[in-house]
Amino acid sequence: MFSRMRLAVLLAFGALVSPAAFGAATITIVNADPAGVGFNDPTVVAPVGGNAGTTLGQQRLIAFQAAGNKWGATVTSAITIRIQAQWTALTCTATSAVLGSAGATEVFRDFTGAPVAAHWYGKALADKLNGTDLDPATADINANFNVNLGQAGCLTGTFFYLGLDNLHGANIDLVTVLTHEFAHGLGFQTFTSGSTGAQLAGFPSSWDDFLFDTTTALTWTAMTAAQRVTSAINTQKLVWTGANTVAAVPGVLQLGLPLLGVSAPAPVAGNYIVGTAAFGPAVSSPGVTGEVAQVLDTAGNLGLACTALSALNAASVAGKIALVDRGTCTFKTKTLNAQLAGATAVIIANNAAGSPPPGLGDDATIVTPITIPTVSITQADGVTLKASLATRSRMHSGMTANVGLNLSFRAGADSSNRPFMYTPNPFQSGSSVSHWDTSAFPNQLMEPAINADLTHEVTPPNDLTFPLLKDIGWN
Amino acid sequence: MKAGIAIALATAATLCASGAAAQFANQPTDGKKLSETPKSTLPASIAPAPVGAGGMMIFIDPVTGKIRQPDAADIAELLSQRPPTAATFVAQPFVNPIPGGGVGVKLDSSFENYMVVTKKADGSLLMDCLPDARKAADAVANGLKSGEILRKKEVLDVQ
Repeated sequence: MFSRMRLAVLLAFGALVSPAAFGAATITIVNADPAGVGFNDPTVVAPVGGNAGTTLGQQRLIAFQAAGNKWGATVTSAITIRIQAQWTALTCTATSAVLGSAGATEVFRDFTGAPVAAHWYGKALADKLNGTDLDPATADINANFNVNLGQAGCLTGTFFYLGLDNLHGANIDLVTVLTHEFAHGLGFQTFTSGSTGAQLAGFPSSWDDFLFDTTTALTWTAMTAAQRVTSAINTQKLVWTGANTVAAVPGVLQLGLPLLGVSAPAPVAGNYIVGTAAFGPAVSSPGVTGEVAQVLDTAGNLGLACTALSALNAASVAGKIALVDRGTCTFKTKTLNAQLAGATAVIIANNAAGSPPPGLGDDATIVTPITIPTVSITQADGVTLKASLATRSRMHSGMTANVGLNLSFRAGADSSNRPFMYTPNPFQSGSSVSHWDTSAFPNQLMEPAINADLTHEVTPPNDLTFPLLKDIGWN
Repeated sequence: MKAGIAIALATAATLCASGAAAQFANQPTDGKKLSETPKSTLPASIAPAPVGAGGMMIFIDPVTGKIRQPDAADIAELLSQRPPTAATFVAQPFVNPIPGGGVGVKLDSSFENYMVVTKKADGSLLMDCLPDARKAADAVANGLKSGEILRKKEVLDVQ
């Protein structure tokens, strides 16, 4: 039914399909727009950034083709991968918009050629592994994109950049967004719910065998639903164990991860996740090592450090790493006051629950140069450290720490080169687990946010997306 | 939401939640409907696909009684009436024989990933990929929070 109806519609509008296949797989963009809309918009436009289309609709289709070409030149499949695409009116305000959405249309398990029994595989991958199209009447991936973007009331004035050269300026690079979304459709996602822990129809996704929680030492496949819910917010403790990806990490991710390393006392020794600051010197290696001293300048044992430190506090933090609390004044104000008291670095404990700890924005009103590094830690970690410090003497805490770039880690992976998955606490519905953690650097295509510095590359040495897809069965 | 369209919206919501919505335009919104979509006589421009809809929705202007383009508030309110998609998805067994055996399931749009963008006061853009339709609608209605997006090179809290 689909094929007859759809074919009739597409033929009627003179825009059947656009082949986008020049690599090891054929990826076809199925134009599902009606006449005059989306891919068929006849508005005349000037060529832009290597996109030679002469109408808005043509340029949109060429951009889709470019993203399809990237994946077609990367993955291998004897079965044509069909992406049904349409431009529709998605939710907008003048300052926010849904750019688009995409995902697999079907999943399969226990088909001939499935690498692991009783696990779900997205349709495109299942077709590839089986060697036939398991449902020829259905496209592999569905994609909807916002036809109104940039118009009044829909992220007014900011448009999709349709060029192919990534020179998007202040606009949104459509090819990058498409490349990201198509990756989800090819299998860069679990079909298991991170918010409820429920498996799809009682079976794990192929993805779940590679999600490993370093706290429980269990894969998502081996966990109960409740354990998966907990794991989905276990920040920087859920890693990807696929061999292709782990092997690729050293060639992709930068060496060194900013961390707070506490070496004493033993009960609190370990590495703590930090947020970094947009002011002062960058956290570096070997970093700053020293005794930690808590500022206590406010009732309730809070150390806000929003004013010049008292003589007693100043004596306490001089030559040490100052631990202060978030709140009341800017981060930079706290650092400046600690710096003026002679501190060598500053740790700011968050005042709200959640993980990872926040990045620390600059305060442009403070022009005094900041010469010591500042990091943030979670509220929970702050409570842990302060409880330990409660046994200190006034001038000696007995707590030794390093604020620095830990060279045992790559940015976005653990010490075994297993990349962190995005597991913020609280759970960000959907963003979690099916993306890399935002600590990854250089920025990765499959982080939850598209960064302006991304290239269109999906393979090492730029990117880890393809190695992950290889882990689940692509080649 | 404007008074007078609640019934129409509630009806649309019920249809969408049940997965039994009639298709008012000729474009399906997800794979689940690909083989069920009747041809339409209405132009797609007046029956847009709100984010996360399991089927097309139609909005009736309470003043004119005619179909009109819904605004963001309409869509957000409508979506807010839907139960969470993850909880309502019922796996539909793939009905056609699979060569060599196996089991297939059709997915609805709750399994899609939604890229959302918010423009900050300084003109910078924050993006987040939210594979949950309601979360995406909420993010558009309220704007992405800095805590939800990448922190490395984006706008950061200063306090």
